[in-house]
Amino acid sequence: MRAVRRIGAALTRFWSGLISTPIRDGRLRDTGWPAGLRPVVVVGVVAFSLAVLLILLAPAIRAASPLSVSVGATVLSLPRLVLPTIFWLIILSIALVQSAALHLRARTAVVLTGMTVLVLLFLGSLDLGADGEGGLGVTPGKVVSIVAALALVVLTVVRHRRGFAWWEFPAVLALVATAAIVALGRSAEQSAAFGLDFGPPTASLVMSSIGQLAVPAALAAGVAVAEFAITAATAAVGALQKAPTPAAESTDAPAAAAPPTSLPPAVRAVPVLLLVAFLLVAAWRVAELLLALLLGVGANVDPGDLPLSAAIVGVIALLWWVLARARGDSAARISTVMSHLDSVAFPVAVALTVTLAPVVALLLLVQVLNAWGLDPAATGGALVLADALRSSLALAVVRLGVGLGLIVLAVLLARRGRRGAPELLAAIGVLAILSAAPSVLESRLPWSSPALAVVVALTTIVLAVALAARRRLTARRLALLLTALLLSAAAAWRDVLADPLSAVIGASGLALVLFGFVWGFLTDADITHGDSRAYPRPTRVLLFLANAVFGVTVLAYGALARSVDAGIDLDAFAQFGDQLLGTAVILAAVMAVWAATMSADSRAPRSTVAP
Amino acid sequence: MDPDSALPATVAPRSARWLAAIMVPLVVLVAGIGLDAVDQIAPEPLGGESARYIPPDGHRTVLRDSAGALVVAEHSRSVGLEGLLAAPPAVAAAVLARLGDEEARTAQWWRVTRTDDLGTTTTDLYRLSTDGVAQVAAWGGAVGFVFEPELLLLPAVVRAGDAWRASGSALADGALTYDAESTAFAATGPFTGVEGAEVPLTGGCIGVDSSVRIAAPTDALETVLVDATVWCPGRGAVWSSGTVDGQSVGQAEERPVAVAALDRGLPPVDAVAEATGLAAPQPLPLVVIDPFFGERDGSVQFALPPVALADGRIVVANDRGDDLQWWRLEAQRAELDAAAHPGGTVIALAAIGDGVAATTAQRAVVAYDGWGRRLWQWRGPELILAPPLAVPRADGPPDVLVADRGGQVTLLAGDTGSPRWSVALGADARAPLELVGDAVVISDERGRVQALELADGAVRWRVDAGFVEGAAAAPDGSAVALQLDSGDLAVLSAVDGDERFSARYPGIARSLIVTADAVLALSDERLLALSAVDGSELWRDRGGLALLGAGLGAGDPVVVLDADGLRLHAGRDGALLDEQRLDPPPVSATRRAVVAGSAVVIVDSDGRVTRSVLR
Repeated sequence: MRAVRRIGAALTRFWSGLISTPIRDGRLRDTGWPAGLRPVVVVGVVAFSLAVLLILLAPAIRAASPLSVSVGATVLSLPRLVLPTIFWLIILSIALVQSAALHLRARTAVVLTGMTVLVLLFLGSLDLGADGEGGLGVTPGKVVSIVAALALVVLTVVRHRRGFAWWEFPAVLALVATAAIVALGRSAEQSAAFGLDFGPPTASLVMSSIGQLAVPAALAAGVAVAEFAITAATAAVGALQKAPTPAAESTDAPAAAAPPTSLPPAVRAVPVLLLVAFLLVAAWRVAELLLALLLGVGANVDPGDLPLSAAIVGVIALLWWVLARARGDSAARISTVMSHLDSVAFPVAVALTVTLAPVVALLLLVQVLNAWGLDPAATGGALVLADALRSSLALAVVRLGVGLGLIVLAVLLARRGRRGAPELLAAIGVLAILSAAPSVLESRLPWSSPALAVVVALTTIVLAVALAARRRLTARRLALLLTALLLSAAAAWRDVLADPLSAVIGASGLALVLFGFVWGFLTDADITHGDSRAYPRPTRVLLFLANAVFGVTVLAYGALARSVDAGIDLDAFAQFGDQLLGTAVILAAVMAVWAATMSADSRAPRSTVAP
Repeated sequence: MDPDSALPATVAPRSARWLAAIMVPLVVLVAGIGLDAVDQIAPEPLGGESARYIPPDGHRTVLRDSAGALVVAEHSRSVGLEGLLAAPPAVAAAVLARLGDEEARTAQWWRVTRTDDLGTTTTDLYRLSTDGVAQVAAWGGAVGFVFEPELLLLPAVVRAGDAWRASGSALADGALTYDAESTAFAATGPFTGVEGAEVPLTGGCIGVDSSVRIAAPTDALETVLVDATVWCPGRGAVWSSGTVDGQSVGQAEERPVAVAALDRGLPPVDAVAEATGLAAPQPLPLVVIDPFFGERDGSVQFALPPVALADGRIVVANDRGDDLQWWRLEAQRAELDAAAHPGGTVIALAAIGDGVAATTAQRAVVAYDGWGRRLWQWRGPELILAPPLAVPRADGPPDVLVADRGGQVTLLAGDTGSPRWSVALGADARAPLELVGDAVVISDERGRVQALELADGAVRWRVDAGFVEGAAAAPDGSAVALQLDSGDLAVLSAVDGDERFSARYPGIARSLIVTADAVLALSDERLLALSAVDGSELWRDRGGLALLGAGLGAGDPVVVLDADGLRLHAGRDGALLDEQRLDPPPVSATRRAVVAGSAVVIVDSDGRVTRSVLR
């Protein structure tokens, strides 16, 4: 019975470390919300849940309902009945973000309001006129969109720097929805006369125009699998470490803090458990490597990828050391590193996609101007500029710049004594520079996540052998090394975490993004718990909801179209986020674990899991 | 920040909380209702109770006439002006003038196109209205009609014993007049065809005895049609028998799974042996010839990439009316050779032997012969986005391999459309199918690429290659090249899927060709030629819209389609052999091209067709 209890307790701790604690700490919750915010949050949560449900049920919805198909450069097929729901979700997102913009600092408010105004004018431009006379006609859709846009600008000016009021969101929503309903309604009426269904092409136009604004969220979502894998690794080791004694549970200290012989039998067993677990995982990692290299089965490890992968690990380790020196202190712990992930991932994602917002603005502007009668030839320059901003070269330059900038920023932050964030930024910086290299060099760089995993695993095993040989392999170090081994597995196999979802949905990219969005929605709302003059708490909540609802709506659109790139290829961006941010986070976590292992630190160890 | 912004909910005015709790969901709900209200859904079908006799869009009827000839009829249903787009201008103008713009926008149409054993195609246009089902016009035959008022075939409510009559003009300005009398009768049968087979009467059929006299006021020309027609729900007219000017006519529905293909009889067009140049691009006006109404310009929108047939014709999907069209490229113009309506929007097209297979929004695969006669159709569980693949057979017409979006791969018998085997990929299918020897290579949305045995669909090999944008097989079937969305270009062995070599390409993937000695990958930024042996770079040039192989032999030239021109490159070293300028397409149009025989045919989605002959 004792064994069963111990296993039960370990599983409970694992579950707590992996699921309960991150959700408890990171969920959206009332932290002194003003009156009237709660109903808006309820609306946002319902909208988010509805969009997730649409994604999960997309294959069944498609099978059960008629599909509306439009054929152009790509084929777009949608279950026609759910299209109004997609428009509704988009309009909700716009209303949420504009409601947030009312109370943001001026420059951010200008950017967000400018984008909302462009979207409204763009929706209005869909009303070309009953006779199809085109842009020169002044149509009700255009007029209403201008009135709504002006009203939003006035509202933003009047309410700027005032406190949140409950009526702001319904007022903004009413303005946005009125403009959308008039424009979409008239556009539908005009198309129907020609036997055409306006819905899917309009939805496609809207999604391809503004869907790109969900890219930063998708990039950040891509890191969720890695984050989850790291949490799983640390939670597993944390669960193994802890003995079910009242003392151990109350102090949250691993058994290795005291000499094993002085502890009860149940506690003395923990190092054995750790040792067995370490040996098993080490055997698994070595066997997998041998199978991959000798028989070509299992992990896809190319021996040619190993040298550069080792160099990448080396460079990050070097940067780790430089940052510690710059700080004049020891290296950051894994919990410290992970605690900065949420605040780092999204801004980095925005920086990596910094050209997208101008591209969206240009595309919207061109369409609005053309609809108002400007000669398309006159706006050709804007399209050329938009194309240039989306070119491989522009992307490579941005990645290089962001990569170098992040490394510089990491050093500056470390000099100011910051811990955790610099290490994370440096690792991401290295990977960002690497991601630019294939475009610049026009050649694939020989490294891969499985190869990195091999380097991490082998280094960890060598480290363990060296420490054992020097009789310094304590239970705590063993636990840390076991964490490093599990992290190496996470580097190689983290995609598997999204596999059950991808089997349901039928597309791994979709599953990866959905996993990221849902996990982020559940655990990344800690930013809404804060408050500041520039970003008041209600604004944070509204922005969080807007980002989540819009991202998952774009994904739902792709899922219902059974084409993840129907609007914008979120899948590719999430994969990129996983490859860049996810790999960087895992390597940063590995560095933290190695640094802790190597340190002669004899502090009373705490859980390796960030609470 | 206002002091009240940070007020905890507990001290906020209770009225504000109540108002928020009511108003926020209310406005959200009203916005949703508003969006739903303005969303256009398909209107309720007009035609009263008689609408139930009208076949759905895309339905096929096979009829055998009293002479023993087989007639394949296709049914089209549409709403609004779209219903008139296929009609000759004289017909469309007359109908529009009579109905008026407003009524024409909401009119509900039923169009029946019949093709007989001789390849003769005739079309009847009907309108469903509150009055019932009435014939509007007929064209394609030796005589055409435009009925004004419309010739009522079935009143909105019709019972055995009901009688009705109509009279009016049968051609514009009363050049022909009509006078019709009809009486409904209980269709209890039996009704048999010319071969004695009984036509099944299902769902409550009704018969109509009618007499139609068509006369020319200016001369003594008069035609009298007397017949009895049986209508069955969802099937249209399934049996008829009568006389035309005393001569017996009639037809009866048959229900074969498939119709045998008829040879179109056009000779194959040879490809140019060693192209070294491109002739100046020549615009080809599209012309539709009607035996009665004469020639008219073709008003079309090409939504899909065109398909070239061995006889030099191109097949396109016309977005206006969702029709398949076979265009014959003559010296100075393109003439419509045949047309068909598979039903719903056409999604993908492929040449299958001498025929064509189309996939549609009705989740169907529809096969046609060279005359545009529908041979068979098969419905799957999901849309089929990738063009069907012809799988040659030694003992008959090629089979048709399709992969639906849901990942179901099915091999259909080429002669009947019945599935030979079907397997699930376990993920959504992604890129086009590629035939590699006796296997087919297909990729999915989980980043896997697999080769399936053509014999039974068994997996020969499966690799995690990434997300595939395009695939092409080596001419000898030894390898398959993949253009991945990651910017990688990978060449895999067809035997076991092992990677032979890989390379990078910049930009967005457009086309991929594998010749005997090279792998040619085109993106919007680069044309890259690699050695098929070891992947070493042979040459490079700027990108384009599409890459067309003039041949697949070693060193054969390739044609690159740009937005504003065509380039002919030597396959061996990439040397620019020739270049021709094209007028750029409108911003809203998509430009595509296909090699048809010895010519490159450029097709813009707005209906422009241009030809440049390889020489």
